[in-house]
Amino acid sequence: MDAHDRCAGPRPHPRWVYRALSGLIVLYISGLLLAAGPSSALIDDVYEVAYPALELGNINNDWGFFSPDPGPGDVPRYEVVDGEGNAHAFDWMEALDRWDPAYFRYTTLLVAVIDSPRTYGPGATAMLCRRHADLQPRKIVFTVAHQADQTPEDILSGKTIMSDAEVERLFFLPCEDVDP
Amino acid sequence: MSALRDFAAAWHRFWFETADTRPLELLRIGVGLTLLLSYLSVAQNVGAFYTEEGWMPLAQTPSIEEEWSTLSVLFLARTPEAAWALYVATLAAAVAYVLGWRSNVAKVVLFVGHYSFTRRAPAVAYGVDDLCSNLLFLQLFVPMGLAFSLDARRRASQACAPWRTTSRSMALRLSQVQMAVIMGFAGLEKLQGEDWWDGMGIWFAMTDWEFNFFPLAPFAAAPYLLNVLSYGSVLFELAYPALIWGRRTRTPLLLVAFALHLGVAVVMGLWLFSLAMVIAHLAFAPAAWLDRLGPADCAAPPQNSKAGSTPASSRRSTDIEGQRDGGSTDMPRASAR
Repeated sequence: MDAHDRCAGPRPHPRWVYRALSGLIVLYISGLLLAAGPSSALIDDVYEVAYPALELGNINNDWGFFSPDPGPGDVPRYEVVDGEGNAHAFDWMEALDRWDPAYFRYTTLLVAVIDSPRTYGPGATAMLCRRHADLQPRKIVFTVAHQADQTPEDILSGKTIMSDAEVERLFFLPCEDVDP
Repeated sequence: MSALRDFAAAWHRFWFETADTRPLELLRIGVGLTLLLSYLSVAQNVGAFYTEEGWMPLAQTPSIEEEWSTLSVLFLARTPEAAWALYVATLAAAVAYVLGWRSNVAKVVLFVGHYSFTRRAPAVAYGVDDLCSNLLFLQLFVPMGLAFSLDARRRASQACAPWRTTSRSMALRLSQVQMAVIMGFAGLEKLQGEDWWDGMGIWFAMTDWEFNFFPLAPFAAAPYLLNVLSYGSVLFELAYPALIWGRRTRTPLLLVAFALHLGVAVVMGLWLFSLAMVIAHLAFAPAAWLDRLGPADCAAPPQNSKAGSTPASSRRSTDIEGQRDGGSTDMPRASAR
């Protein structure tokens, strides 16, 4: 390696190299904008075609932090129905240790279970059936507590963020179906 | 024709001739550190997240594998021992990458490990993983460990390190553009939300159970503060893609970004994500900050002197292109005629 290579800046490449790299730059930035951009018939169709490339390029993200509206939240819970048909309600997200370094991985998982029950429901059911084996569980019922909007005045008047939350039963899966 | 030629020259300078690519090395250290902490934080959950005994056994979540059948080592080797082996290798690679020891091997191992874990268990991956994947992917294709690293120290016998390569310039620019896109779209998306428009976005984010780490009463008693913080966040995110390129606006903008992410970490508990964002902002680290971390060596452009004629240690590095010559921005611009 001569002095020029090491110290005097980029080694000049043939022109076609810069043209090819420029093409890659345009594609990459187009991918960034496509993944993060709005939705429309045109953009959705292009996105579908580009999806594998966006994933492979690690740029398939929309970056919508806490948007468009950040709250109120949905708090996953579940019930264990035992062999005699009795339901035992459990907090799920609320029972997590906030100071567990994996806290946000668990909250992400729980939200994924209630948002995509077909994909993540069976695995979660198997895990919960094992966890509550002492209850001889028959099925797991997944529920969610929908937080109510709480204004600053509500909090100052003594309400908590879980006040007036409405619990909705989402879906259930029998333990025997998931072979825990 | 002349305008086109000027644009082509400016494009070339912006993308391929960045004078100082040391911020890439800050990103290396930062991404390695974030992933190290991230994977240490799941040490007690390797079995629960990444094996057949966990929350997402492939036998019961086949769609994960169907979509990514060739893109995770853990689809090929499904035993707990394989998950642990990959886990240990990923941790070791993260440590090596932070230190800059065999950086170009470490980054490949780290990427393969991180990619495999996030694809094996997409339901436990979140913003930290996405951001690190983005940055690490760009670093895969360029030589790393050329500054602030054990690799650089090992190569100290060479007068100058070949930092200024075309690929590193391009990778740094893409990392910067990526941050601009992230911040810009974060702001644009918020504009669609009533909560942010009404100046209460911060409040409703804080009152979500998942992110409620901080007592609410002090904020509830200060509604104007909530409005200022909400509008300020949106304005900052919208302004970032435009103002981060300016020499005079960059440092204040970076300091606001650090304060914002510190606030998010403390109030909402998102400390790892905040760390990743702070690190990603360092793609725009000014030269003055970099000079405090280590010698400029070959970062400076030749400046009419013959290569190697100026002692490396006596050179001052430039900031990103356009700053040494008095330019106020390093966005693409027409060359001076």
